[in-house]
Amino acid sequence: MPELLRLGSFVLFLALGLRIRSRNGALRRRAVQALLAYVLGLCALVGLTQKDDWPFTSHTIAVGRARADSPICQTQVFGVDGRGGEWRLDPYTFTPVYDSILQYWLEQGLPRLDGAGREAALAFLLARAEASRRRLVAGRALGPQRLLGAAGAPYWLLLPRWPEAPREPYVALRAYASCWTPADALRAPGAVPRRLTLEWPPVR
Amino acid sequence: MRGLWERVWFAPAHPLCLVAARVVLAAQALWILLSRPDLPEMTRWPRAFFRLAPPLLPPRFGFGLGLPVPGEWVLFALLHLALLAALLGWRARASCLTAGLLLYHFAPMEEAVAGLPHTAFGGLTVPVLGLCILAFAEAPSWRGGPAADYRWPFALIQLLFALGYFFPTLAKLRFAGPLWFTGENIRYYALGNFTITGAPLAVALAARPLWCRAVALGTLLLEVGAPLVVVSPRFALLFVPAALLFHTGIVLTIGYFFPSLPLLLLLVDWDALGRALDRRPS
Repeated sequence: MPELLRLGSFVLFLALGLRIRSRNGALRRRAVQALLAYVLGLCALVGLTQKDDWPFTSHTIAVGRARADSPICQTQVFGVDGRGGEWRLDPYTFTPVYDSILQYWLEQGLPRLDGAGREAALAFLLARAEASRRRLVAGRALGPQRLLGAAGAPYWLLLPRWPEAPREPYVALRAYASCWTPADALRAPGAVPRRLTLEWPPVR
Repeated sequence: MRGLWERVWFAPAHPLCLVAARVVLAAQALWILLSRPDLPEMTRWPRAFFRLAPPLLPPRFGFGLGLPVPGEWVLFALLHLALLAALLGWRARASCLTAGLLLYHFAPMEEAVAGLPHTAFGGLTVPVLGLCILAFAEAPSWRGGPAADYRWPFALIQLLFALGYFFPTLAKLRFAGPLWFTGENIRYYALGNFTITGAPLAVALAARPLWCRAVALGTLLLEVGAPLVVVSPRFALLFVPAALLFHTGIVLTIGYFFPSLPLLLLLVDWDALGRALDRRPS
């Protein structure tokens, strides 16, 4: 139901706007006023309630309060080559899905899948990782640089790039979960413990 | 109040305002799309990846309705052509409407698997709405007399862009309270994001409490003041460099990029520029 309402809000925006084209004089002015009132009212509702209705969006980002003990968690995805070597995957490996979005799916979505669904999804991801590996080995760009080079617009979250890739194919994917606080990371940079949460297919 | 409403929405504006808005929005959308050249491939992803999204979210944007992948690529190509047409002013209203609707379809694909957490920051939100608004409005050439019909669409697009600064402040106040705007919060934001993005000046900022306090205050002033750009072109003139500084600082200290940065061109006083060009001796 909420999604239908959101679709309806956009359709109403279109209807009120296109109505302006068919009006003249004072009627046109009234139609413009109606569109303005609608857009302003809808934006105010979204902004005050923080209920997103993209493209009438609440622009919610970076809203929490950070502290020295605020936990930060991340899932890092690696490709595994035939010799067991781990290669950190570039954040644009699974483009058009960015690394941070895929992390969320691995943490929340993957556990909800049954056996067959899980296997199919992970096989798909391994194939995507392998396709990106071949691009990198061939000297071709991933993500926003594919067509526009350095002028390409990056994703808003500027994660570090990992341009190295093995010449031999990936045989598996691994994911590690890490959690730390800013205080931990300052005290012992690079020493954040990590936990293996995924290996597919299992590497003997 | 009535006088302000009339001035903001219906004071005669030079047609260059709408021409500039059309060019800026179309160019911005093209830049983002050419940076995401494989967006239609999202429809090739298995349904298992869309389990986290509400079931009606994909059909809300017209994907997951059975259109084959080649069909999506045809629509994607059509979107580029519509944006090019809008950029060049060819059949401006029709091309703007076509582009706006197709952007509505494609823009959410990037984050659909997670339920659109940050689609607002993808750089296509204002183009979706702005191009539709331009389709509702007149489509003048850049030379001609000012008219009220050229003011309201331009001001509305400017306001929608400015809300991208104002609403985050409302969100911060709602979820974190006024203590978000403190030096201590900025310090730990910088440190926390440094461990994820490695932003080059994060640690330097965090080590300087006075700078952190200045950033907190500057953020509040910039975000709260943003809607004034619609009311005052002079304020907009000050806002643009301040916003550029703000976004540059965020890239260097937090590691967040603002894909809508070129849309700051919407805040140029195109009305004054158009009138000045009209006064030039031919």
